[in-house]
Amino acid sequence: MFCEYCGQPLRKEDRSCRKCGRAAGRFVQMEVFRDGKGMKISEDQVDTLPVLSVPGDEIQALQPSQDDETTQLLRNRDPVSEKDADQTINMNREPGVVEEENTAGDRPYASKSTMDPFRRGAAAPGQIAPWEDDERLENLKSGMRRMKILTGVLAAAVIGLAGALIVPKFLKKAPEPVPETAPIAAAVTPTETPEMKEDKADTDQKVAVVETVTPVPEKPEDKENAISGLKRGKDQEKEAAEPTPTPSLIPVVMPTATPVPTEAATPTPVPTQSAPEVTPAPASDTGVSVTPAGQIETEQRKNDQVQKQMLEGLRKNLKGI
Amino acid sequence: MNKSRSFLDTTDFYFVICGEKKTQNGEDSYYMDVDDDGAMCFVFDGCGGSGAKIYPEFGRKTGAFVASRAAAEAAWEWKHSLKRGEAEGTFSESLSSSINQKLAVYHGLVRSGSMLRSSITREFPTTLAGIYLRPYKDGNAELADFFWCGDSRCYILTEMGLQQISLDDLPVKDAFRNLKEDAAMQNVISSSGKYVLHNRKLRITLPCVFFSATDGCFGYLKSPMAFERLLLKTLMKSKSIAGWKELLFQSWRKIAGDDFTISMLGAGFGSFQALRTFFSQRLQYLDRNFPAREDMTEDELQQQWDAYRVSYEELCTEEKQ
Repeated sequence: MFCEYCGQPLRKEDRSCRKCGRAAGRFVQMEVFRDGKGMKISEDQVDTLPVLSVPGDEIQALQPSQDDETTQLLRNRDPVSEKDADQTINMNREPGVVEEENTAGDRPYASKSTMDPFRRGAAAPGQIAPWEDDERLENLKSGMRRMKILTGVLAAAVIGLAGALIVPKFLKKAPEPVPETAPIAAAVTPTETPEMKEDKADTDQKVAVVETVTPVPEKPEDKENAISGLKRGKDQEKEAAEPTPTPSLIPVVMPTATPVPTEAATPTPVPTQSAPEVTPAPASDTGVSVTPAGQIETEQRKNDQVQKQMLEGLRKNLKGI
Repeated sequence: MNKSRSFLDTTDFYFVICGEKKTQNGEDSYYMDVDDDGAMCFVFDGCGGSGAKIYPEFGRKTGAFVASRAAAEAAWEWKHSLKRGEAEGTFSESLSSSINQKLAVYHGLVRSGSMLRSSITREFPTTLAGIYLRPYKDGNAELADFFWCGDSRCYILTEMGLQQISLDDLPVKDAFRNLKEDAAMQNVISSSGKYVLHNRKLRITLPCVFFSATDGCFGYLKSPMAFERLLLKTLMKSKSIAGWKELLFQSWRKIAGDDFTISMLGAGFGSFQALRTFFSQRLQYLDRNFPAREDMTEDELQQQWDAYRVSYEELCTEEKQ
């Protein structure tokens, strides 16, 4: 026998280690279900209980009660004195706890809680790092990591899909035709209706187109974008002008000429609406072919002429009103 | 029994490690008792499945909880009946008789004290694995009686490595396959008394570590080789028996998904340093011949097991009464 703490050899009669002073660990331990009526036992029942913990190798028991059906089988045990019983019975012992000999006087070095490293929840003094080479634990950890990554990828895919389905609907929403009966003043009123908001968005888009066209881009890509923007701007103008050439649409294309639509004059909202058109894309994808600079100038002139004509039309209409 | 020498003369250490999955509701129990005449290392695992019934009479604890503790108490009584020379028949007969009597008392309390009058089949079910050790003549050996019922196991750890003595009461006897299959137990202690308590007697030459363990100790590892590696690596990392206990406890607390209980006794080593030296060679052998890698396939593990089981199962045969 040697000391379980320091390895010092122990003699049979040693009750504590001669080197470290700790208990020799020679004890009897047992876990029993106590009286058949639950784990809560009041103090007046102590005498009826079987022995739970005995120091040394002296195995003794308390005299069971004659009336207690549970302890009938314990009657053959030798009774012990009350003093011994007090020393031996540990009423507060928890199930699953390793019991040690009750020799507190021999162990000045530690409290009961530190003596018993296997008490549930008790951190052992000078805790040693747990065993770390277990493959099962590592597999569990890596499995959890994989699950997290997979969940993240799935979530990203769902968000991306939802975005791809929903966002283009908002971006490609066609301008709603304004009723012919709409008065011009309606476009000028400061209070915004939902229709006005949409019109404002359209206005912003068209203003952006016009603004990007005026300076001729220097880079070839910019040229492409500018040209495509110009053509689209023209197409939009035509779409807007041809079916209903009513005065209600005119302020939309005239932000610079008439100071009425203040929102349209501000250039800040441009990027959101025009962004898809600005993104560099191959000419073949956009369906726009590259044209020489001379052609751009003629297109510009034509555009100016159209604007002038529309301006004149507006003035005439205003005069008529 | 030869009493020419004290059992404690050769005993080096003994301890119990017990952990609960559910605090205050652990269904494992144990009984360990060491004196001049011999030692008892018993563990019990209440069967949570068939013993899940809650008994208001027993503090709303389950039948499994009550059964494991009642069986521990019965083992305690059996040991003292042996001392008094009152035990009749073979060891397994007298031990099972003691257990039956104890469980009958508990069962009687239920029947008389409440309306719960269900079939007694599989009421208070529990497994048992226990070792009764005595000195063998004057020589450096112990006479060991191994008892088991259910899937708790008795082992010895020698220079031959880990050797299982008990044979699981499961449809599959292969210890490696049992780790993957969750088969129902074919034989378990219960208040019905319809069970077989296996008993095997061996003379074991020292030095040797004896232990009995519930399935929480070995059932959550990849293989029986991993179980031996866990025992030996924690031993090599510790500086004392107390440190070894702590490392083992922390390891099982991390990996076990169930209650775990081990009751261990070592004899014939002389000192802790000698114990470590003795098993360091075995660990080297284990690492060399059965290396553990994270990326091991099932086939590779199976190949290792086929080689390892030759010595592991050498003593694990049908019991000979």
